[in-house]
Amino acid sequence: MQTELVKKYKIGFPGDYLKSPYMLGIAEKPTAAKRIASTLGVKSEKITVPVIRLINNKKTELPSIDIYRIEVENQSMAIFIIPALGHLFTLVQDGLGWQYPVYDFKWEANHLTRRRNKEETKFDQRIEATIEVLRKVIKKSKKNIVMTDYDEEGEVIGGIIISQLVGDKELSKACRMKFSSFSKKELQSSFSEALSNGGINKGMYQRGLMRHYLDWLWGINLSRALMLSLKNTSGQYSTLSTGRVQGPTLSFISLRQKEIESFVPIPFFKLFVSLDIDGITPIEYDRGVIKSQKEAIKVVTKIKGEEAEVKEIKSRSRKDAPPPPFNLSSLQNDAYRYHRINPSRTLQAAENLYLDAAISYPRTSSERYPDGINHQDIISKLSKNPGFAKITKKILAKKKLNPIVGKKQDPAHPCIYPTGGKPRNLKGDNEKIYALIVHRYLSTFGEDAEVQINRINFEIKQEKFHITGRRTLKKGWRELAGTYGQSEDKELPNLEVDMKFKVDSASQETTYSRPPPYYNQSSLLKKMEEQGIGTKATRSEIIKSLFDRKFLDGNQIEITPVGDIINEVLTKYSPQVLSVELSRNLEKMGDLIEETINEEKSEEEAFTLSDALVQGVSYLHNMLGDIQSNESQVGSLISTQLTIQRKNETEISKCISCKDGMLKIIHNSATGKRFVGCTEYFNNQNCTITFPLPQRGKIIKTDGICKIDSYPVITIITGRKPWSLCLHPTCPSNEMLKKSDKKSKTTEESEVKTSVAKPTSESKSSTKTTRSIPKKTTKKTTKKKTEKTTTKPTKKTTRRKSN
Amino acid sequence: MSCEIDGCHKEKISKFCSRHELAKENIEKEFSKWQIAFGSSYTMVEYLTELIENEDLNSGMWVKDIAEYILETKNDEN
Repeated sequence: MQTELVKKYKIGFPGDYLKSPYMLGIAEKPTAAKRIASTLGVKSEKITVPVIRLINNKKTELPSIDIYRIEVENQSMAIFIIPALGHLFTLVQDGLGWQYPVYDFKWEANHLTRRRNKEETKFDQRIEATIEVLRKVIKKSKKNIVMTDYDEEGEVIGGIIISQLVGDKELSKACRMKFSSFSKKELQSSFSEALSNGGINKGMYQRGLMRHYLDWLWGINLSRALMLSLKNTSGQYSTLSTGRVQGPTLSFISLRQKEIESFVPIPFFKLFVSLDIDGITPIEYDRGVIKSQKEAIKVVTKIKGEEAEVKEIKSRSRKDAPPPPFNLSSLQNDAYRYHRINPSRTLQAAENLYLDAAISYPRTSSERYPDGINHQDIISKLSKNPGFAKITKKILAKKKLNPIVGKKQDPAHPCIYPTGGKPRNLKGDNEKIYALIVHRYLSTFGEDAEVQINRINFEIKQEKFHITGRRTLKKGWRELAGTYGQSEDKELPNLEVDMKFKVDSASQETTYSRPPPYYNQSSLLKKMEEQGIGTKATRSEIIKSLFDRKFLDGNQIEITPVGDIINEVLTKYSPQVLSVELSRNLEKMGDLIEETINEEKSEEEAFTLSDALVQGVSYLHNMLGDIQSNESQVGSLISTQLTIQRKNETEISKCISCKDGMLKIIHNSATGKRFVGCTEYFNNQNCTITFPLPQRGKIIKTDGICKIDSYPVITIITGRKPWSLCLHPTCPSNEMLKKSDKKSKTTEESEVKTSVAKPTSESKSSTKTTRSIPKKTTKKTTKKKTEKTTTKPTKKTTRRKSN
Repeated sequence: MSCEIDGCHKEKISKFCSRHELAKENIEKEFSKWQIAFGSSYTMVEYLTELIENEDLNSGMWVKDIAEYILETKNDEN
């Protein structure tokens, strides 16, 4: 019989803090809590609260939680600010059984879900301790103030904490601070507004709940449908997943890859003609390209040795307006364009800067500044930074500050702009993103740039050619954009109509059409935005999770075999899962819910959260039906592909000993260790050869053969840099690597850890030595030695540069 | 039944999987453009060899697979 657990907590609040009346503020994370406390409080005190868990009198000391007690001007009550750690509660299945469909769910403390079937981590304990501290403080709180980021996610984080700890009734009485930056002025005014008339944004909250519910239902049911199809058909197990935004995103990559891999180039011919004008001046053929080689040769023969006559000289001026201020998407695009920083890293850096009060809230789609923003003040503060001093001086000299804004709006937040606050520890991504944001902000105060586009038209034996150039007439905003506003001029020679010049050279060359480029993280993000799937806050996370699940790979993104098979079975058996239209419709349902609440629509016109759930579940039900009725086909397709993939990943080469079997990476189920053995061992132990392997790192098979002993060479990836290893444990090439590394240590500062396997009879253990591997830039002698075992990992697809 | 080219078990349209079938269609469709470019005497064998061997061409991987398959089949027939 199971004995019931008696769980209690001891929360060690010092002194009599909780005896006098107080308010509770819930911040999104510790850094935000610290920033709000230090900015808002006239008096701020950090309190470290110890938490002890007692289960049947067994004591466990949980991590202490740092909270803040602040006193605010004109407020008799103190405020305790307690940071959440993102979502403290998560959705889980209500009931037992690993089946689908599952339509019953409930909120559960996140640590309980995280540690189910897993060992408890420090992070789980921190979540648990935070919840218990909140539970204790919220009980006697006179007012609860949600201080999380003002967006859908922030609304749900704060709202669910209150609803789960003290109920929905208290949630309706809660106050909401709505701020877009951590500047003192903004925090103070949002605090007073929250206390006077600001409850939570119910529309945003309900919309956030809808997204959470539907994404959970979609994810859990469709993923289970795939995994159970596999299990029921083949008995195999593999973690597979798909979801409302994940499915269509994966399908974008698959479609692009299909275009690339089935691409047939088309030949065309380009003319290369140059004139003798103050040296050699190349000119362009008006027709661009010629489809037939014969015709191209004919034109070349016709114009060779002839004279070109200037027929016309044209020029026009063009104005380039300053770009609007950044929203998250345009910031992520430019960060990738100028610095190759991917969208999730950009978001991370922008959030760091926001928490540092250096910029406004970054998760926004707005291209407009907030009402009442004091540009003079911000620019003056920025002028103290020597990097911006010259530019800001120019702007401050203007009589009126009239920045350009874009069309896009966001009901919750303005565009991204610097607050003027000095960021601390500005380095790496943060430094680059900050420079990008400040320069874009300053550019919006610039005037239009003006360029002159010049063109000279030539005629050679009735064939028409031209040259074009550009000259900057007015730098305008480009002057304020630093390195991000540079554009190069191209001057044309000083010519007049009727002038003639000898054709210096004329030739034709075959060129070929190119396939579309692979997506990179930035272009994929743009595609998702264009297609209206996901939100500014979730898109980069979806991309990241597709990478984490190994469905996607590479900077020029390719779909992996596992990702490919998931996409294929869904395309064939449940195409709705991949439908962009459907995903977009669900986002629209969120808009309707928000409108219903904000516009207080009548019952007849109203579209509620329940309506959205009913509609969402009905879509889902159909999709699950499609998969279920084709379960054996779905399962067997996945199973076949998985088997091939696993085989490909583990089989290294033909056995060098028996020549019959395959050398394969084998995991000893008893010890958990890995080694290489021959498949013929499983055939009456015909071949017993084994090789030890390093126990850490990812192993990638290569086509490489060791030049010394002809044993297979594998690549190991530990940390960031891959290294090669000859399977023969005593191969001198491995020794050479060691020696060359010793030498290289004297010339290099950086080191890469690597392991060399030593011979063992049973292959159950391996010895590990740490050494460094020379970088590519080391001296030639070092390079030569390392070449012995340097091979490239096998890759199925041919890679190309993107256009 | 698997695709005759890579043995994959993906959806099959003919003796090839849908991907290789798509590549085959593209090869057949674009051949006329190559004949416009290099003249009507330009042969299918020259075309396929170019698709496989010219690295600057950026021919798709499935296209190369099909081109190789067609050339090999032709050689076997001869």
